[in-house]
Amino acid sequence: MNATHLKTALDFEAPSDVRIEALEKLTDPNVVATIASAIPEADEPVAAAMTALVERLDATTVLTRDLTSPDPQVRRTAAHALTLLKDRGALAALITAMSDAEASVREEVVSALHALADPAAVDALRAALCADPCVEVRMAAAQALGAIDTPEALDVLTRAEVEEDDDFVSLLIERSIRLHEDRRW
Amino acid sequence: MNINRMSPQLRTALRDSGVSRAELEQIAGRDHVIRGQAELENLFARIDRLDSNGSSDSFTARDHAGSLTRAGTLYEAFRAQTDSARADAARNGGRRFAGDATLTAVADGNATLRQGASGASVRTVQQALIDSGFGIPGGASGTFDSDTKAAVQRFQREVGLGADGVLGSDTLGALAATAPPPGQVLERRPEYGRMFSDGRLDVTIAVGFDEHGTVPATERNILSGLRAQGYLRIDPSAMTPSQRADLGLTSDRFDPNAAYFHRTFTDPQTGNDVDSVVRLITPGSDGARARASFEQAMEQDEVVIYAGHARYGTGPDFDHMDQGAGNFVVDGHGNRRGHRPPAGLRASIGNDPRRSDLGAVSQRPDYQLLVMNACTTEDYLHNLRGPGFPGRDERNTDIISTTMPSRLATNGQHAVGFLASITSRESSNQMIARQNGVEQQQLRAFGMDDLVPRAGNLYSESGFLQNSENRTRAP
Repeated sequence: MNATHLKTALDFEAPSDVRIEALEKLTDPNVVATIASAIPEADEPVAAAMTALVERLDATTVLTRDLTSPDPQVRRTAAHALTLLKDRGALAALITAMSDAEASVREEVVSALHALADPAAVDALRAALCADPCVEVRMAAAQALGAIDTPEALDVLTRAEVEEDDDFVSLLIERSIRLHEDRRW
Repeated sequence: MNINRMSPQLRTALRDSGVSRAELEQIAGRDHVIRGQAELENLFARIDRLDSNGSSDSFTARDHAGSLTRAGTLYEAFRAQTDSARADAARNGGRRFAGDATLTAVADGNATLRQGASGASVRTVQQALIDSGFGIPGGASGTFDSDTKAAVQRFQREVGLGADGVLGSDTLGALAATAPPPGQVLERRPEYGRMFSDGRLDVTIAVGFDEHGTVPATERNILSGLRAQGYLRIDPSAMTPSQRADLGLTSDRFDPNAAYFHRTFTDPQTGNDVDSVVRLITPGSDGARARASFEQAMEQDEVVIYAGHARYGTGPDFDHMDQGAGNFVVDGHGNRRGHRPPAGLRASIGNDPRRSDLGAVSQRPDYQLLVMNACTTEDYLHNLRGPGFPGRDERNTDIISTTMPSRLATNGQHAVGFLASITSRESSNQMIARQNGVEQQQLRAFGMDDLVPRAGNLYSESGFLQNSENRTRAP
């Protein structure tokens, strides 16, 4: 039954009220990552119903559990959903997940930390920006540190600007430093 | 008959008599279309009224001295094109329909095929549509379903017919003239020769604003893709005037708010080097500024790729959905499902459903390929070649649009994916199939399996049918 409701809830050609009704009938917590990741493209009332559903199904608990799944795709999807949900309750689990073996999972995890913009993540982001071998993870860390409005975050960026030798990461470091400067201005 | 090559005097006279450009385009602007005789004669009668200062309602090809009237001139030219199209149809796509009694009845105007029909004739038509580039998610199933109707409508719009989704004699005739011979597919291609001939390919990739926080990942995916394709970041402000001029970054073209990237690639066909210069526009904290950058890109670059929201059909948007300062309005009507933009955005853009910012794009390249990568941007097509965007038609504008909501999480990959296809001179068939595949893979990863078949038709193309580099090939 959940599969039928999920299909209707995601059917962009269905009327909004039909989709909302289907969302209200969903009870399986395992759908939260799928529903959360559909929010950005949903029409406004449907997006609101999707947000209400993931809250009702205690999405953060489900998704932080999924961050430790043996399946990297599940971990990646969970981190992506957490980026969209921006629940501070996931902070500790996300920081732990920064040591994931898969670079693409780490990139999504850094994105989720970016969305939270919590100063408590600066140390973990410093490690990612300065030492992660994956360029995309360093790019994500540079962006995330631009969103955290503390002198510590700016300090990490300023030091990394000197050390970083990849032009594309450097571009994002420069942009994040400019964000800090704009806020101070 | 190409109305863009019509004499200015005739164009003015036609316009003054109330003949709209759209009406003329429908009848005279697409040389491969076979139109109904009654519709033609209606136009000629209207043109003829010009000759006789409104005193006659009849169509006369020659005046009292035996010379061709303007209506007669147009008629003769059109008849020649029609004869040529008929002969072409008999050699190519028309062979698909020969011997089918139902389709013969349709061709003769004695029957139509519409949603709900089924059988071998429907399958034949579906295959002709698919092989001509008008995809149907369920393939040639033999059932005239809503997706088949949408494909027929898409085809009708492309050839200037009324988009009612019903297969009648005009539509079947046009399909016969368009479709490749049986067993072949029409390989449609952007006008690469025109884009690469000056040794430079000017590209913009623009990222729209998103309230849900997906912009950093989109930007990252684009940068990562550019890096993987061998692009290098360049800083035009640190270059000499000569270096800037070599890359087309003269003061009138350089946008200080954009990031720039460059690579030289070898045109696979000519072996010549081409400088590809990419400007990346991101919303940043000033949506209005990003919007102005996008307008400049529309005026200057040969390839413009947008990745972001479409705001219920209004257009590329570089700030919050309730604000209009960062909205480049293509169409203020709202989308095909009847959703209008949010009240705040409507108020901000003046609550005017007729508004379009395309008219403000005062210059444009000779040829432009637009990739409008947002939710259901197919709704924009009429404006991107409409009177509000003067000087644009099928011959100088090709558009890749979407037939359904595209996922923001994949938009960055799509943007650089299209760029890679363009510098490899891929056909539009290839690049669209590739990006549809990327979307399908993402949908599966996020547990949206029910949308996967539909996403096999995510991207649709418009304007490619008449391109000079098209060819037919085995599937």
